[in-house]
Amino acid sequence: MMDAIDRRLRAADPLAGGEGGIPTPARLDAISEAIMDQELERAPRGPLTLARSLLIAGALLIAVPTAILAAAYIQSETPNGVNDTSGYQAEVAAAKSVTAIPPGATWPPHLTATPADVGSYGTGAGKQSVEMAAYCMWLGDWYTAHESGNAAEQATATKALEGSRNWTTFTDPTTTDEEFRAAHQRAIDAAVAGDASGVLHELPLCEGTWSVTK
Amino acid sequence: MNAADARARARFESIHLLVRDPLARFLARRVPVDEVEDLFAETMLVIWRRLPDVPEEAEVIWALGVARRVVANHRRGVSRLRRLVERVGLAEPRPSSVQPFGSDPALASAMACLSSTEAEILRLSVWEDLAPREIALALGISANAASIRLLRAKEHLREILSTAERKSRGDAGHLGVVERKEAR
Repeated sequence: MMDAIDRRLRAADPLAGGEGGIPTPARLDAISEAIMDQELERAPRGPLTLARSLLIAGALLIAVPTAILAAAYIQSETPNGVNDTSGYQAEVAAAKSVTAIPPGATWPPHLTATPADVGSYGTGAGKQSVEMAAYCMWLGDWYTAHESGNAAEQATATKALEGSRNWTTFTDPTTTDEEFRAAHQRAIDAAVAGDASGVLHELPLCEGTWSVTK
Repeated sequence: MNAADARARARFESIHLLVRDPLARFLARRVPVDEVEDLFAETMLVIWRRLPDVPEEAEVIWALGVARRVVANHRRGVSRLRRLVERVGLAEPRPSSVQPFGSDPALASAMACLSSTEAEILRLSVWEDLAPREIALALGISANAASIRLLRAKEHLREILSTAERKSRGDAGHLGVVERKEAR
């Protein structure tokens, strides 16, 4: 059912007064046609020529040893190293044991590595996943408490969020980028100030896998 | 043309027919008229290159999700270019996108206070007529999250609008008192 906000937004639709600015269907058809022609033209076709085969073979001679060396380097020499599934799960379990979440909340199911993911986790990813999930749960908990007027729960969540300022996920520049850390700080500042719209503004950071599971 | 090319062409043509009009309208609502064709072409190029990924029965929504990212990248590019142009004093800055709320400046201000995702959820819901599960697909979030966020975005917008209207009424009242005093 359409409410007043819907009606007001619909009235402000740039196309509400007509669709004069839209290119004609014939022009749009021509664009897609041109894309197909261009892309099919670019695509390699037919048997490989000798010259192309030699070029590819030469490239492989360089690329394969480089990839093997790079893989060996990544496995042994990256700043953080790589974890297998059991290493990741051990890290997750250790982080869960020292990271509080809101009363009644449960850890999201994605915090379990599957056999297919062996070798795909950087060291620290388990702890990061746990801390990120916990932070998002506390942020959601804060907002829910605020909306329901539960001052005690809101205070608990505020304290937990303030504590998250010191979590590795939000202090280590190799773990998160500057923009991410700034959003984290803004959310906590808003929570401390009791600014619900500020907290709500930062909630999108917690979308998808980090959604609140309480 | 080999069989694989013919299959790709047929699939792309069918997708084109499905997405052409909604995609053009989506773009026309978000970018200046003279940029619609370019961004339509960019979106269709992504669709061509990712043909196997385009979901059956959800082509339009998937295309709108692609277009959303294309528009965002375009805005970032325009914004960088504009900053550069302004820095070297080559030209006057020009608006980077359409001003869709010209008839309702209060709504324009309120929408600007929302996060970009909140504003986009509202636009997708009202302008593109998408249901929450379709918004979810376009934004890459769960249907449940889309429903909740649509609700919150509306609440947030309503709250901002009513605060602004209260403030505006308060200011008008205050000005009225001043005017009456001056009239005496």
